[in-house]
Amino acid sequence: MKKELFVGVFLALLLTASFFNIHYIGKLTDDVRQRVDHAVSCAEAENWGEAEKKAEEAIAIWTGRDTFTHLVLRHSEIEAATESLYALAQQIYSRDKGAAKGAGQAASARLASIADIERVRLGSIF
Amino acid sequence: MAIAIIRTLILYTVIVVSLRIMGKRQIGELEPAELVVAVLISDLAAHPLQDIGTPLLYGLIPVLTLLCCQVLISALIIKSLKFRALVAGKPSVLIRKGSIVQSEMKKNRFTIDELAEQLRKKDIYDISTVKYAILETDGSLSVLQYADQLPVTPKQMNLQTDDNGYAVIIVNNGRVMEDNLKKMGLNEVWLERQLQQRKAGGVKNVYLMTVDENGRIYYEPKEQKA
Repeated sequence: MKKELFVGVFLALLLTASFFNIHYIGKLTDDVRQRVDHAVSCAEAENWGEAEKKAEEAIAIWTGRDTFTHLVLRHSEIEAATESLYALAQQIYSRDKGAAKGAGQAASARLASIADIERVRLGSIF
Repeated sequence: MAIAIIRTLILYTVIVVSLRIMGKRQIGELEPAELVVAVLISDLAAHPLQDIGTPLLYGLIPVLTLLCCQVLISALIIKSLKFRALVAGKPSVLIRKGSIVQSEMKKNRFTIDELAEQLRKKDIYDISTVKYAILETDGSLSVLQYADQLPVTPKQMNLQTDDNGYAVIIVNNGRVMEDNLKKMGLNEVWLERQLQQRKAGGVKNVYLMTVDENGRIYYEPKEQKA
């Protein structure tokens, strides 16, 4: 009976950890997306200094959680998201308003899709 | 490369421990739920091993979840006969009182050829000698032959026989099995005396030595190197 009890508790812990993981990834991607969106709106207003700062913050937050993301996300997804953030920064550094907007939208969509895949929805399950 | 090796070692350890926790039955004859777990575990473990871009947790968590499910289902099976019937099914009587139960054969999609094959595996070549044949939930066939077809036992012949009991390994390839020695109420002094009587020249020269409950000894020395 002890074994069954231990296994039941372990299963409950696994479930709890998985829901925590969904919450954490959702929060992380939201944080990064907020900065991406802010960077894009600053770029549109030609406030390049602030746009650079926000894009760099977004990269720092995303790459700062490297260990965690590599544990729980497919490495190809992480790399694609990282590349999209650097692409945004590149367009901002080159002061290309239109390209920065496109790169920002791509990065935001990439991050949203990572969070979406992890969420418990019919679409994610099947 | 190192990542692949470390991942393989981790997954190997987890799977071996999981199968150990699931119990011995998992390794032998499998019931439907157990077969599903065994097949799934091997497949789940293969993915993160082949693709190092997939987090190891994607293999470990499903394996651990399956382990939990299997342990919990096994516990429920022991507690509830209804649940056992639901998960593992019920044994089917394919031959009853010497007659093939065709409805059960059909229900289990069991052909005459398969029945004959299973019987041959039990050294039964004449189906008319079978009184009962039961298809167990793990897919094996249990057979009871008519009494006149069964081997005669010493008891039926009113013969006295010596009961050898269980023979325990005392020396295994030059190593003394101390636990077994103690279980049999013996000690190193007794072992040394037995080896001297056989001119073994030490435990290291013994390949196998067993002793049964009546004190009968089986002794096999190691082959001498040419």
